[in-house]
Amino acid sequence: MPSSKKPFSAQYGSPLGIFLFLLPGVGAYTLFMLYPSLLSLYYSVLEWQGGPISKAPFVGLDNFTQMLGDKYIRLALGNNLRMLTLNWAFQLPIALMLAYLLSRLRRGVTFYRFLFYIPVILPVATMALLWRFIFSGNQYGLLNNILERLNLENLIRPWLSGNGIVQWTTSFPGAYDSIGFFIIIFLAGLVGIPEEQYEASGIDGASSWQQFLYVTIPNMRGVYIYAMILALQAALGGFIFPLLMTKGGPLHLSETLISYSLYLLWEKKIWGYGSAVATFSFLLGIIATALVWKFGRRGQENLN
Amino acid sequence: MKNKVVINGKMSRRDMLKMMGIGSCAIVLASCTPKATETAAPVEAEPTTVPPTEAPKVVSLRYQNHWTKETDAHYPGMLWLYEEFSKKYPNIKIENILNPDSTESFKKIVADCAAGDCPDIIHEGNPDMWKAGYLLDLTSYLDEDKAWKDLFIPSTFFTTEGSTWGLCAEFSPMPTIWNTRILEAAGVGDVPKTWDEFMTVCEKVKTYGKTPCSWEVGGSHQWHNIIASQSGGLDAIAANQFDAPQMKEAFSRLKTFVDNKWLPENELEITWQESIAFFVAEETAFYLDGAWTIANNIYSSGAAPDLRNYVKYAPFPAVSDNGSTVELKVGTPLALSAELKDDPDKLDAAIKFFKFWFSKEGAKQWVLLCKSPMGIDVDLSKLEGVDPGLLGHLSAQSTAQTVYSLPVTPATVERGWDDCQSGLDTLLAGGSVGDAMAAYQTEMSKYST
Repeated sequence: MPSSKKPFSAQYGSPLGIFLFLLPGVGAYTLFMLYPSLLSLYYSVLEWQGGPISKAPFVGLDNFTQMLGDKYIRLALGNNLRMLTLNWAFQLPIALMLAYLLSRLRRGVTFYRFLFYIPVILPVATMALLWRFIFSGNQYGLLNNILERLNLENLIRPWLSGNGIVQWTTSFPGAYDSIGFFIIIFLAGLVGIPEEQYEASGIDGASSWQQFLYVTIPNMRGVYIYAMILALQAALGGFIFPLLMTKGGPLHLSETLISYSLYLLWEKKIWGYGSAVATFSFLLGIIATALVWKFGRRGQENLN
Repeated sequence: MKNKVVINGKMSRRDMLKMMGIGSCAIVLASCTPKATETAAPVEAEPTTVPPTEAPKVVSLRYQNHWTKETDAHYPGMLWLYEEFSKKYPNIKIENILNPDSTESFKKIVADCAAGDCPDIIHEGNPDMWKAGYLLDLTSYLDEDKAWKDLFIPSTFFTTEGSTWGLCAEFSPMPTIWNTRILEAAGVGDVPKTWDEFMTVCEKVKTYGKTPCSWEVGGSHQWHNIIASQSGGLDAIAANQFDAPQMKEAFSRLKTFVDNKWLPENELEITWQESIAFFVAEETAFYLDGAWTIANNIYSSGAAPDLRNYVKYAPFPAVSDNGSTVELKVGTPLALSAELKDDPDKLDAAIKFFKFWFSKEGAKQWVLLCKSPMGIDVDLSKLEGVDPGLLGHLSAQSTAQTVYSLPVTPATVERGWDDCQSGLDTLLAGGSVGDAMAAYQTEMSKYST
């Protein structure tokens, strides 16, 4: 009896062709992402502060245990958690609500979508300088200028140097700037919600808010979990705004794990310990992502 | 029936895409091949007649630096250096690699060396690089050419454990640079000579509506000056006594600036570029910096054209027994890569380059073109055309009661200019003098002693 199964090449195409098409992407990923990551992992178990790497002694997990006593690691982790809080509590809900409003809009959708996406497409360095100008504590700072003109001098603060303040002002721009990105993701998810569900709920007397709560949110759960994971990775890997706005200062108050790693690598030239901090950030991201994925999917299964 | 697209019996779409994939892979692989080196010579046919005298071999030296951008004070000097050197040694090519500003340039050079790709001429070496084996020991080259060695001011050699690895390309006093226009408007007759006068001047400047200074440029030099003005202060620095009473006194006096709000409101967040910009914009009354600031800042296009007429250079006011002070900064160590030992032609070329640059003529041109002295003594009284600004800058030494350099030890060179910055930042953040001392000592514990 002849086999009904098609040969591999007939089903998927030529293996050589598949390999060649995958090669540039996989090659680039391996060369520029995987290989440096593995090298960083290797450096993190060495005590290397310059000089030939062959002479750098192997110290095992000493660099990682050193982190336990490093107060700047605690400061940095705190700032990463602040970024995560802003992303989950502020960025994603606002992005979802704006996406919902856009999906219900009959006219001007393209215009508003473009407007919300502008911060995403502008260069990060430009945005960082703009935010620095807004929050600057001198006479040219926009926010303090506005407060002064509104006779709200009592609200004027050293936004980029005050302890307890700079940690939030350097975390906020990242959350704000990516709202447009998540609006696009949520819009794509909202498009997939059957219109009949909204019609049926409307017939049953549900208000817009109730439709949002009981139709939109349950249907968007999967997309929202995905967005939470992206926001989590952005928070744990965030460094560009603190780096460009305050260089992680003053006194390392606004450091994040990655910006502190960069400081150790490029300012202090402590390559081994700096690589260990970067590796720790990487592992933390993987574990946190796995946890969110696991609990998010469990919830999704219960819902299904 | 298969859904295969065949275009008039020619190559199918799938095959065409396969060929495009192969082609793009080939391009990527080809771009990864190493470049042919400049010194690789083509194979020549055997001569049939007696060959003429062999032309000197072309040698190329890589030099990474941030001095060859048009806005830098050293740009005219670098142009002269490259031009005249190539006239004298046409077979030696200097491959100039322009880096961003000094901080980024240093990081890039260190990273390149860590990656095994040191430039041949190393701008701003340091003891770490020496210990890592990146730098050439220049001791023997100096010792075997005594006439060359005697040109140098002896205290300007960068030496670790008896080996000289760096030659000083910037040797400048760091006077207090005052904006006399602000002082006059604030009702101040002359620059202060004592600490009490200094406090009065700062109060008057603040009352007038300007800010006395910003620590981001010159704060650490104020701190050094206060220590140097006290008996035993410089010895404490040389001996790495980070808990010395002279240092505590320095933090204590500088805390006055924080308490009286004599610094910009956002001092903690501003960069050194902004700090200098405050002075150039005539928002602050004084700062401390080397001779390079004349061309880089006071004469820059961002400054009022007449600012240079309202600048006075003076010693730091007397704080204690040693009186008024001026720090002489021994900076910018120029070094050579240790890898040159493996290439005699390049090593010879590099030594020639150093001897050409670090010569009487080179030092003279540096004073005239860059307004920035090197570690080679130049008798200014015999030099015509020296900028009046530079003469004024250098004159602060002649009126100071104590002129000093920080000892050029591995520890001090490693710490660099901003050794007390952690302490100053702690004061700015509202910390006490004790907190500042603790932060300073914690920071210093990271450096070798």
